[in-house]
Amino acid sequence: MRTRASFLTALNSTKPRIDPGVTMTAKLKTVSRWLLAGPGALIAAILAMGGSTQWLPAGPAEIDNFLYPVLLFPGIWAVFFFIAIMFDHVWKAAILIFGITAIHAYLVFTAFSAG
Amino acid sequence: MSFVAKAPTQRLLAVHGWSGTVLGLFLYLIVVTGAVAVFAVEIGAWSKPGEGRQAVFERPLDPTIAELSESVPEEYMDEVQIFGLNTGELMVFFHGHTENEQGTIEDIGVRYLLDHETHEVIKREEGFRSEMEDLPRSELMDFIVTLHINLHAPNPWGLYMTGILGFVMVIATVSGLILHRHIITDLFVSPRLSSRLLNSRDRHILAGTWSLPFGFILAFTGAFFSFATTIGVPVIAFAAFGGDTERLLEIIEPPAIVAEAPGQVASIDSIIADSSERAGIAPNFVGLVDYGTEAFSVRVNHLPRDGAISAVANLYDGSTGNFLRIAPLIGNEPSSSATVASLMGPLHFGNFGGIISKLVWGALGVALAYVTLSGLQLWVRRRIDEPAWAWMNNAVILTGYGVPITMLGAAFGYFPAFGIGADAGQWTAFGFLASSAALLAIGCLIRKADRLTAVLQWTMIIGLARTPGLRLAFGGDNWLELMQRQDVLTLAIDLVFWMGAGWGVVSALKLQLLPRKSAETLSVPAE
Repeated sequence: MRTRASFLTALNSTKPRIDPGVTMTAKLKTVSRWLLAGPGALIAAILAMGGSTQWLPAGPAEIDNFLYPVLLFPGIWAVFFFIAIMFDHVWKAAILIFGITAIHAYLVFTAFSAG
Repeated sequence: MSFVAKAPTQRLLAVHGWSGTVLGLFLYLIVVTGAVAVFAVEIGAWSKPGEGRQAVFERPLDPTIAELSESVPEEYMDEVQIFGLNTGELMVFFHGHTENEQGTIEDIGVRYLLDHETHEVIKREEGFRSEMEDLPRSELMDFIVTLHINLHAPNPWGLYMTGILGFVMVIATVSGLILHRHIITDLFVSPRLSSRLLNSRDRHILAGTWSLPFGFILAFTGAFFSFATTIGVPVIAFAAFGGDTERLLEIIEPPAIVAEAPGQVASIDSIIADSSERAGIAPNFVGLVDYGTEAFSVRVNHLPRDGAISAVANLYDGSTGNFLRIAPLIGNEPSSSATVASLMGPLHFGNFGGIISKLVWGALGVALAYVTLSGLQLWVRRRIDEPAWAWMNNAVILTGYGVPITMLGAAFGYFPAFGIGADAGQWTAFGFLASSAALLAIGCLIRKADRLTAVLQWTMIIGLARTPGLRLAFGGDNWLELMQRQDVLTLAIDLVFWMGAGWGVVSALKLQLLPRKSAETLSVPAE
């Protein structure tokens, strides 16, 4: 059964082990990635939820622009989380997430300032 | 075939495993209590005789509302809420809205508890809603549902915790989907019998693959419910309404237009009859706005009828009795987002297709609990040689059996208290805490995993077998009475307990009497 072999071999390979060859740069990359996937993704998702109220269409009842972000919040958070995990280079994921977050932070700031 | 490179796959596997390990025990608690909470109404009726299933809108409402409104102060006539309680009584709440001592706008008015058959007033309360007594319901079911919603932690912290657990489950299901490169084949994996570890792995993959989409739906909707009010509303109010939460809430639930000029009053009973015909099911809530004025409107809410997914609310002109439109769940106009929002509840609670959909949701919840626990066991078994992981193995066993046992403990606290008229809410909590403490003591005293498993299995079996008897001993309806009034559900719940005990006996004997094919600690290759 090749199918199970590939999945289970992969499962076994995640067993924690000490690798003396790990450099400081590699450690820094790992820490950066988990910071980005953890608190980074959560902050990005909260700002994206708030900021997207400014560019989403309001719809006929004028509620779509703020109801959809609330409805999709767990999904938005998950998308940022997976971007942080799946990208080969953590800096590419960081640029993408920080970029989206910066735009939405600006939108939240201008909307709040306008009252 | 692989669509994900090796390094991200390794990271995903680490996420899948470690997120489950760190929060898996809490996740298991949420999943098990959720599978039980699907049957909240049924278990409420089972645990509290006389609860549920009465048709509360059978007797005409027009004369009752007209008579009650005579004795209600004018300022409480903005809105009237009429709904049935699980205990069978009818609640009529005449109210207005005013600022309370905390400075927030709150409902204030007069609330009547009526006998659903005679409409005789059982109780009258006046004041702010928060000052009124909690609505009567089964304390046992209330305890389990609250455990599922916020782990009995004060809000918003409890909701943050369950929201994070929901998010972890979203991550586990999506990463599980990406990791299953041969998902169709995994759907038909035949659990191997060559060793216990391989058998457990295959079963985890099989149950996990089948329940992936369901797990995702439950986790997503659950996370939404936890975060919508705790994070969603404040963030949206901050970003789009300059921090004014009141303005946002007014859009979500538009306030009534207060009208002064008197107007005609159409028959509420005729409106209810028309609405029931349109919805195909009796209403569960009737709301009157500006009763007796020119702006009088009536909203009739219906739970989803069999075969439908979402609930329906019909809006009527209260002066003429004419149907106006189907009212959206949120806002004044229909919108796609309100439609999506209206699907979140039925998808999470499984209450859209009567008892059948609830049974499916309950069974899938049990499957998810199995996936969570078996995943944890797999993770721990491969590390059992290390002392810390051997301890974790016992924690998994303790939690696996402990969650059902503590729920039974809650029932053992509830039924005697209910029977003798003591504070059932307090005794339910005491039963839960006492059984939790006893389990912790057992966990400390018995270190050997096999022995711990056996002790907990038999404790659970005895608890399951004794619970229906406890219900009967402390004032519960006996089987003859249940059969006479064709209360199949209460009978079925008793049977489920005994079937659970029977299944437990078979499993326990199988585990203890049959020879093992391989030790748990044996190192087993993937193939």
